[in-house]
Amino acid sequence: MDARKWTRVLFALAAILSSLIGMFATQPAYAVPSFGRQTGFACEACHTAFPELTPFGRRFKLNGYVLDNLPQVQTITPENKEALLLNWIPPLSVMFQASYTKTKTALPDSSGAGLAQNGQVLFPEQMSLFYAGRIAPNLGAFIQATYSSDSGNIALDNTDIRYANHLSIASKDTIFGVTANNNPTVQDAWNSTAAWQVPFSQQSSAAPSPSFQPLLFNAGLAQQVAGLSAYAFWNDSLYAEIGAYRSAPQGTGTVGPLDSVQSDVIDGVAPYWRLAYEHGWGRNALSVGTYGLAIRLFPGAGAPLSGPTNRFTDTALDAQYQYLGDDNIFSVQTTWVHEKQSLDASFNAATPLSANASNTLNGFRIGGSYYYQRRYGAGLGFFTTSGSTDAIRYAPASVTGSATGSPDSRGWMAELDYLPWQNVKFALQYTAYTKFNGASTNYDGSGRNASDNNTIYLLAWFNF
Amino acid sequence: MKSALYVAGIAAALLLYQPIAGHAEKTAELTGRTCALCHGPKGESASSAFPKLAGQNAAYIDAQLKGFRTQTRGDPGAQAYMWAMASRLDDATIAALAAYYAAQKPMVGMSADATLTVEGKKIYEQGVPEAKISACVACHGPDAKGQDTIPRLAGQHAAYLVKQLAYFKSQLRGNAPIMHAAIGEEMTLHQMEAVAAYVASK
Repeated sequence: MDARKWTRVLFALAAILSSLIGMFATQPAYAVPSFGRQTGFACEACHTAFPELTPFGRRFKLNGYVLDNLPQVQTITPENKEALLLNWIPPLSVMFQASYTKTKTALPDSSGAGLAQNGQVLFPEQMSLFYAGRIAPNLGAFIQATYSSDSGNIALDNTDIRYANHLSIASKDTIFGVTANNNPTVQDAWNSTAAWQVPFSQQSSAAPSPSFQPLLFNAGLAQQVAGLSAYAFWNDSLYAEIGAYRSAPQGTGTVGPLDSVQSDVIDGVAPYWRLAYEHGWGRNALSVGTYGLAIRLFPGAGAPLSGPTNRFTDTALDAQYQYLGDDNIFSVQTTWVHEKQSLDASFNAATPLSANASNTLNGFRIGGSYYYQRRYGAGLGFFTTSGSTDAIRYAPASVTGSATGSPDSRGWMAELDYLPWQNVKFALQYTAYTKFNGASTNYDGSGRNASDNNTIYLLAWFNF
Repeated sequence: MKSALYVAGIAAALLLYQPIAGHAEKTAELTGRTCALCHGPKGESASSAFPKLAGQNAAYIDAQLKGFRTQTRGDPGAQAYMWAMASRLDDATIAALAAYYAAQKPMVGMSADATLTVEGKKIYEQGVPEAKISACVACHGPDAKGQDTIPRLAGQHAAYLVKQLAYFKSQLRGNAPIMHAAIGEEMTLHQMEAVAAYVASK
């Protein structure tokens, strides 16, 4: 085999490995002190308990992260226009997470010699550097670079660069803007959508998590796409956004066009939409909304990036309720996603990658949390995934596979939180599965039960 | 040499333009870019989390901004937002901001539950003598427009007013006239809601 072929094989292996890691990794979520540094606001102005946003936090985000209260480096043109407005101190911050994960039964040893050691310490689980704040008068950014123990690399994490401005529609203030981002829903201001969903915004990357989720739920697209969308938020109540995503994977090893080494490459662009309505009264805020993504993917991974595609249409509903007292804070977030899969490419492949020409997959999550004085918190949640049985697409594999071909998973989560300071969180989280990848017992065909994946997770999370 | 002249030219231009950006410009920039995000472009905030400022008495706004700057007004909202926002304001800018909002078309209220409003009107005009609650009208005036450092209440968000009355009671809002703490001690939440509904609807 020549060097080029070896490189391709290595890339293919890396792609498989990273997709496996993707199955385990959960969507991280962050809040950053650099916003506090830029504005002088305490965390509580924008967050109930990070990363959940308050109504003002939503405005700050949709307004482009530009509100400031720092001395500025400023240039004004003879026409009295601003040519430069730069923070004296760059809005930088750091996040450090350390964790301990223990599953009910240890994961199988990779060499097959028996059970591996249980009780994984990750130090760090993730460590991030952020630029989060204003770039220019109406331009701001949330840019995150993360080193994670599982990848061993530093990579661009959640990123949202946006322009925002105001106009008056029907004599009501309207924020409008454009966001360039790398993860569908990372630009969203409500914590009921996937990227920033709370509670349980942080979960163990060392424990197995259900392998089969609608595209909008798992991290399959996160940081592997680039999207541009335009939005408007009218009178603090009605929000509308429309945009499109295109494949922009990281770590491909080349800067040339994507080729068949890549897997799941978007054909053209994938439209994204979002509509939400928020009503605030007294100390309460209630929002309901819908969001979705229609996407055509070339399976790639050896197959050419042309011809038939797999089409996914994800349609989601979400809702959030928040009560923001001075001492007591209570909130509930929920979302439901219905995914329609038309698997023309996989089903008609020479070696079929799916047993059905079309599938459906539904995901539902609900969770609530209570915080006392933003210091002591508790959360409880339920999640379920259900969909068509497909013995090829959801095939048996140790830990990550499904013996029955069913993608169904179901379980509960609970968490206790202690925040000695507003930027430091200690969490004890427990996840219990009643069903995992299609079954309760021997779900993977290798004798593992759903409850074997029950996880205790201890997390120390510092933002500074 | 040429580039040095160029740099010197830009520096000179910057220096020359510095005095032009006076308080009027600074005020316009602050109200448009910063204050408006919460309080609305002309001081008509949409959310009851933030008070309306349109038509508020200039002396009251002036006193509050100074209270934020010296951190003598200590309710949670003041701490979280306004301590920082006011920390870099000088007296002249504070005066200009106060004048800007005072000059806006006065805030417009929303009608509330009729029974509650009637009850609130009675408290506002007559107080509750048996509970040692003085009549609000004595200071805030028959139209609840206030004067000087006594705030306009007419048309304000009711939820904001209830919150402030509760902070007077818990003494978290430390820069109020002493009588407000005394009134608050005796006032029930229901009475606060009633009186707030009444003035908010004016």
